[in-house]
Formats: sequence, C-alpha cells, structure tokens
Amino acid sequence: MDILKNFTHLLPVITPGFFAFLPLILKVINNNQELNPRVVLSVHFLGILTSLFLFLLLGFRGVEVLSLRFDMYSSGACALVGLAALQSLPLFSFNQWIDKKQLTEILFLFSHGVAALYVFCLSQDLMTAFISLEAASLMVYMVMALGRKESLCLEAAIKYFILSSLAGVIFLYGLSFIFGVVGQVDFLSLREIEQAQFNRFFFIGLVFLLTGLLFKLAVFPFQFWLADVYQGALTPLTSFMATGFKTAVVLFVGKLFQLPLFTFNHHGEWFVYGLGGLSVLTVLFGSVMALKQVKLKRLAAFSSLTHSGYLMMALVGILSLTDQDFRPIFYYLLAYIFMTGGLFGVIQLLEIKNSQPVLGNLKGLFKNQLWLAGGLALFLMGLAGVPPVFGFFSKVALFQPLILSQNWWLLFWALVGSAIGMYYYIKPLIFMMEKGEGIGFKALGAKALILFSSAGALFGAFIFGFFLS
Amino acid sequence: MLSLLVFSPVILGISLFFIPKKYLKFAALGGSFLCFLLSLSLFYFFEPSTAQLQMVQKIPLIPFLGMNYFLGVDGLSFWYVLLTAFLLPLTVLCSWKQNQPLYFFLLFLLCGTVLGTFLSFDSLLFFLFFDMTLIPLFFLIYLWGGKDRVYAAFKFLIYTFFASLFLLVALVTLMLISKQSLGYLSASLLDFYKLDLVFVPGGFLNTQTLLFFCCALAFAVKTPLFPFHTWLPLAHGEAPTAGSVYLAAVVLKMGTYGWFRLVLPLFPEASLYYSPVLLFLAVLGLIYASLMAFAQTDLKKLIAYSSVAHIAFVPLGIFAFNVYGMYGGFYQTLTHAISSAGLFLLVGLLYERTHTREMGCYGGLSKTMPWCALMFFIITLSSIALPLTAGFVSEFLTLLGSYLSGEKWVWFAVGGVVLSAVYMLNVFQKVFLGEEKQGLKSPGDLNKREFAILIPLVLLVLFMGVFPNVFLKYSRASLEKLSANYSNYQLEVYLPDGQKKKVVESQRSSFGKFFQKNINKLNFTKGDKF
Repeated sequence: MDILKNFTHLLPVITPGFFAFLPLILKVINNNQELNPRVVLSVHFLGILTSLFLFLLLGFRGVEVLSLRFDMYSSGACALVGLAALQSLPLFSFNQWIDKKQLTEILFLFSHGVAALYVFCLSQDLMTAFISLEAASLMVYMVMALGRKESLCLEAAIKYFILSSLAGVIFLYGLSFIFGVVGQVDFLSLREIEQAQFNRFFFIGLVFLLTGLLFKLAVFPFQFWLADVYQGALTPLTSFMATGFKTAVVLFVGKLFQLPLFTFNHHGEWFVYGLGGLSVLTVLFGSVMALKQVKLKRLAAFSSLTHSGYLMMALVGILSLTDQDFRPIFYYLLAYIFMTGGLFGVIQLLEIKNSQPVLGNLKGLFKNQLWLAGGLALFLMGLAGVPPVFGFFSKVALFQPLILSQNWWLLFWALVGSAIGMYYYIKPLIFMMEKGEGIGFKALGAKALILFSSAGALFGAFIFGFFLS
Repeated sequence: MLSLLVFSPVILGISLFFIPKKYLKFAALGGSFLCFLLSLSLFYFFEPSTAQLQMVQKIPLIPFLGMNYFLGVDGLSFWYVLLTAFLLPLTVLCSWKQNQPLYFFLLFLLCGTVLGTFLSFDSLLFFLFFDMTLIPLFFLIYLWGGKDRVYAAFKFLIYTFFASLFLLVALVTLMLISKQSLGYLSASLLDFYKLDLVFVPGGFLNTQTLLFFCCALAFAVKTPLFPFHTWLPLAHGEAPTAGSVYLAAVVLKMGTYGWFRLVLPLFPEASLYYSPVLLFLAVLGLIYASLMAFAQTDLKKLIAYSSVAHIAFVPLGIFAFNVYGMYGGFYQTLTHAISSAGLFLLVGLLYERTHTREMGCYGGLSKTMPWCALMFFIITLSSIALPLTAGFVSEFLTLLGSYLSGEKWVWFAVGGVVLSAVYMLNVFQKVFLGEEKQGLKSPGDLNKREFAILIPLVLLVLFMGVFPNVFLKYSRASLEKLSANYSNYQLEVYLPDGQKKKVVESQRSSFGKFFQKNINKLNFTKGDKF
C-alpha cells in the first residue's frame, strides 16, 4: 500500500519522464526511424503540462515522500520550472542546429532534466539535492553538445561541463563538511541544529555549499562562463537555463535561507553583507557588460545575469527578516520567466535567418511583423521594469523585502541597475523601428508561443497577484 | 466615465494603424476631437462646490500588492485633465505633415497616459501612468527629433526614469507603512493621507524626511527645479513641435501636480521644515534660467529656458503655505501651459517656413507675417505677465502669497519677472521688428490650419487674464482645503446621495468575497511558508 501511496504522491514528478519514454519506444519499434517531430514535441509538451497541473492539484498538501516534501514552496517552484520548460520546448522545433534525426533523444533528455529539476526543487535533504542537480546538469551538458553542427556549441558544452561539474564538486565538498559536523544532511535535522554545533567547519561547509549554488547561478565572481555558454548553447536550451534552471537554483537558495543556519554568532550579518555585496556586483557587472553587446543572445545573457543579481538581493533582504515571506520572489520569477522565455523565443525566430542575430537584424521588424515586434517590445520593457508590463509589478514586489529589511544600500544599487537597464533594453526597440527587411516566419507554434508569453507579460501581474494574496 | 476618458485615446490611437494613409490625418483629428469632447463632459458631472473626490471608480486589481484600479477627479486634477485633452487636437493639427500612424499613435498614447496620471488615486496606478509617459515621449524625440536627438532622448529617458524610481521606492515604503498602521496593505492615496509619519526636525534619518526627499527628487526632476533641469532644454531642442508642446504644457505639469497631490499633504512637516531649500532652488532656477534664456540664440532652446524659469513660480507659490500662493502656483501651471504651448507652436511654424531656429537669421518678419507677429506678441505679453493677460494673474498671486509668508524670496522672484520681460521682448524685437534679413525665404503668413491652432490659445490667454475666477471656481474648494489643512489633509469620496454609496460598497465587497471564498476553498495546510 505504501508503495502505491508514494506513487500517487510522486506522480507529478514521474509524469514528464513517463511521457518522454513513449516517443523513444515508438522510435525503437519503428526501426530507428524518426517520428513526425510535431508528434514528438506534442507528447513531451503534454507530459510537462500534465505534471504542471498535477503539481497545482496535488502539490500543496505538505506530505513527505522519501526525502521529498510537497509543500507550497516546493511545488510552487516545480510549477515555475514546468512553466519555463513549456516555454522553451516549442523552440526545439525551429532550431537550425538540431539534427532532426536526433530530436527524440534530445527531447528525451530534456524532459528527464526537467524531472530532475523537480526533484531538486522538492528535495528535503542536501544529498538528494546534489544528485538531482547534477542529473539536471548532465542533461544540459548532453543537449548542449548535441547541437554539434555549430562549433560554438561544442565550445560552450565543454566550458560548461568543466565549470559546472567543478561547482558540483564544491557543493559536495561543503556538504561533506556539514555532514561531518552534524552527522545528518536532511533539512529536518538541520532545522533542529543546536547552537553548540556551529563551529568553524560548519561555517566553511556552508560557504562552500553556497559557492556551489552561486556558481550555477553565475553570481559575480562566478559569472565568467555565462555569456559564452548562453551564446553557444542551442537557443531553446539557453532559454531553459536562463528561466527554469535559474528558478530552481534561486528557490533552493531560498529554501536554505529558511533553515536557521545563517544566524549563529553574528555570522548572519556576514552572510547578509557578503551575499548582498556579491549581488550588487552582479547587477553592476551585468548591466555594464550588457551596454556594449551587439549580439542579441549575449545581451539576453547579461540581462539574465542582472536579474539573478536582483533575485539575490531580494533573497538577502528576506534572509535578514524574521518574518520570511517568499511571495515576492515567486512573483518576480513568474514575470521573469514569461519575459525571458519570450525574449529567447524571438531570438530563436531571428536565428532562422541569421545564425548569430545582432541588433541590426531587428530592422524592419516593426513594419513587417507587427505582432512579433509588439511582443518583443513587451518583453524588453517588462525586463526593464516599465509599466504596465508584469515586470513593473514584479519590481514593486521585489522592493518590498528590501525596504522591510531596511537594506537601503541594496535598494540604491537596484535602482542604479534599473536605470542603466533602461538604456540597453530600449536599444533593440530603436533598431526595431528602423527601416529594413524584417524576417518572414510561418510557424504556428512560434506565433502561439509569442502570444502566450505576451499574454503572460501583460496580464500575468493581475492573475498571479490574486493567487499569491 | 473616467476610464473611458483614459482609455479612449489609447484605443483610438491603436485603431489609427488600421486606417488607410489617405485618411489618417483626418481620422487622427477626429479622434482627438472626440477625446476633447469626452473631457468636456466633466463640466456636466463635476461638482465644483466640494473638495472631495468625485466620479470614483474602484476595482481591486492586485490584492497581493494592495493595488486598486482607482480613478477619481477633484478640483486639483480637474483642469489638468481638460488641459491635456484640449491640447491633443492642437498637437495633431500642428503635425499635419506627418503621415505615419506610429507618430499619431504615440501622441494619443501620451495623452492617455498623462490623463491616467491625473486621474488615478491609487499610488501604484499613479506611478504606472507616470512612468508610462516616458516611452511615447522617448520615441517621439528619438524618431522625429533634430540633430542631437539620440543624446537628448536617452538623457531624457534615463534621467527621469532614474528619478522616478525614487518615487516608486517612496510609494512602496508608504504601502508597507500603511500595512503596519492600518492593518491592511493599501496603495490608495486616500489611505496614505491617513498615515501619521514620524518627523524629527533637523534629523535626516527619519521616515518623513527620507520619503519627502525621495518624492521631492522625482518631482523636482519632472517639474523641473534648478539643478535637475538639464534634460529639459535638450529634450525641447530636439523634440518635434508636438512633442515640445506636450512636454512643456502637460508632462511638466505631472511634476507640479505631484507637489500638490503627494508631497504637501503626505509630508506636511517635512515640507514646512525644508521649504526654504525648495524656495531657494526655485528662485535660483528662476534667475539662472532667465539669464540662460537671454544667452540663447536658438529660439526653441530660449523658450525652453523661459519655460524652466516660469515653472519655478509654482513651487514658489506652493511652499508659501497660504491660499494666495496656492492659487497662484496652481494658476501658473495652467497659464504656463497655454503660453509655452503657444510659443512652441509659433516657433515650430517659423521653423517649418525657414528651416532655421537661429535668432540671427530672422528679422522684420512683422511685415511679411503680421498675424503671426500679433499672436506671438500676445502670448509673449502673457509670458512676461502683463496685466490683462493670463500670466499676470498667476504671477501676481504667487508673488503675493510668497510676500505674505516672508518677503525675502519675493525680491529675487520679481527680478526674474523683469528678466523675463527683457529676454522675451528682445526675441520679439529681433525676430519680428527691425530690418528684413537678406536670404530669408519670404515666408507666407499663417494659413487656416495655423489660425485654427493659435486662435484658441490666444483667446484663452486673454480670457484667463480677465476672468480668472471662471477657472479657479472649479478648483477653489480643493485648493482652499489643501492650504488650510495641509498638516492633516484627508480626502474622502464624494457621494451626492446615499444610494450610490451602497452600490460602490456592494460591488467591492462581493468582488472581494468571491475571491476570499475561492482561496479558502483551496484549503492550504497551515504553517507552510510560501
């Protein structure tokens, strides 16, 4: 009975993987002949969609299965990851570098990576978190390397493989320190940890643990891999890394912050100032680097870097509060997922014509593709935080923990970052309005995606505002 | 009704994209007149005898952020709304050579967002519209501007956006304070007025002072006050005529409106304590901008500086803290709008004819363009505050109010008035009188379209100068209330009879209950942190 019960609880996690097997089995039966890509894609889409609904239906009950816990925080995180996956999945069908004979395998890996991230979000113990995070990273390495028609892809894959596995090792190293001190790595025992157990080794372990996570998040000074990897990777994958992967890691850091690990012997302040300082540097580095970018994908990469800085700021603000409320983070991430997913969607469409789209390729978009241009304008303005797009409301939400915790210095640098952001986010819009050829695209999925993200960017603020209150 | 007023320009602007190019201009003109007529209906609905909030629409929008869709109008915003809608047909008329739907769309969008700013009584909604004005104006300057448009547009955008973020921070802080003291998260301005913010004279790190400076910075950039004005002459210099008109006449008024609506009632003690700083900046700006205007050779920049100088009267009036100053400051915003709009339009049409804005290239135009000279002269007279013109009333009231609250600032302010006479008459003499310049294409006099633009403005200038009471009647109650109770200013919703109140209440509660019920249904486990 227990197995059956556990199975029902685990259903949302299993679904995407289960659905991913179907096309693969069919392909094997069919003498290794590739099925219609649309069918493959829709099966995967359906799998992730189902898991998303199952999370919303079953996820909020606070049950613990194995070392996973289905509560509002974790299931909410999973739902965000699912949403991000849904946004990046349709892009696989337009990508020019993907070997069409391998689509089934690539999507198989992708769906399993999403499932691994689900486990990561739900995990209640550091070991499970480590394994699932590495499993998800493994998916990223492999999919990235499969786009092998482009040399940049391989370069990015190797770069990411080396650096990200290094980050994983650092995480594991920190974990071992904590295990040495406490004797346990599950969150329940960490929550009941006693003040006497906080010693130097525990502190070192904590720092290494965070370093590993910040490495994955590309927070300054671990940001150097980000632009090259984002630029080189297949755009659908970049989109998922910038949205889903980042969401999972950010919310896992938030989960760590809920544990009373950071409060001993005034070290709490160290973490606030240290992490706050790093987040400020991330925002500034991302903004300044984005100013000079010509290639759209690199611009998007640095923009996503800036946003991880903002997210870290909000997390630090929440860390120094006694009454922790994570809703602003969720709200911000929702906005961010819609807009970044949409932005990468547009970039993918531009890539059909130019392999590395630059700002100049946007010329004529406004004249020839009004809807696409309107969508792009929405995403960019949303990322810059201009009303009435979702990004503005999420920025309002982001300010709340910063103000409540009275971290004025963080707030000030967030303002500076947004002011600089205005410059580089409006530049593509200007190119868009100039005369030029524009691009022609007829894909139905692309239009649907742009419309979906635009609708999210326009109305998401109001819809999710209700649910979160 | 008010929603219709706010969204009709936006919807009309979008529909312009679907109109064939041949009829575009006429459609734009018709649409703009429609907006203006809609705004005229305010005369019918508005009750001038009360200072309370009227024609209220309130719908909860994002309860998570405490945001409501909350529109209303009172005596302070009444004239700004009419002004904004009144200028829309004029700006469409003055850009008759444009044939791109995008241009007209941006104009309409600008109008709609500015109207939204003046009508919203929810702080987040206010900020939403306040910041949304930047985008259309940025593109108007960037896409149809002059030589230096890139620099000007970006400077305008980033300068004002950065400053407005401080306002956002202040508003979010106020929301969080309202949650602590009122028990619920609210972004409504009416709830903000109920707050009692801590003020320590002389100390900088107390709530009211910090918030005051955050808001003051945002509005000082927008108004603009002296050290923060540098974006304005640049933006004016490069913007197309319609953009300049809207910028000077309406967008700057969002800054002055902010002083009336937010700064004075919300932070009364801080405003009183720090008013010398603002008065000093205002007077300094008045004299500095006048001198700068005198030194300009570019006509449009000259008028931009004169606009900076004249708008400095507004804080001078407001921070006199008496009813005359308040009247004067308020009336100055209206007269400044009319006269600077007129001057920008005139310079625009001179530029259309001669393609130069250098003052040295003009001369003796009154012979070839007598009507133009006459119009320019009347508006100039208003600008230099000659009696019987609009400018006189407002500047006299401002100076009177300022004098009553302490004479030291008035001496300098009067100097500014004199200086304005010097540079404006200098312009008139150089451009319209004297020898005719060789090489200047003989420009024809005003055509019918230009008459249609200028005559309403000139008539308004004279009418506002002779019958100021007609205008102030609608704002009297609000202004007197503000000047009498600025230290504990409260605003309530005005309801003509009991019935309406029930309707509003029931709508709100049923909507709230619906969501409460649905959220309770979800049955979350308690103790889970989200």
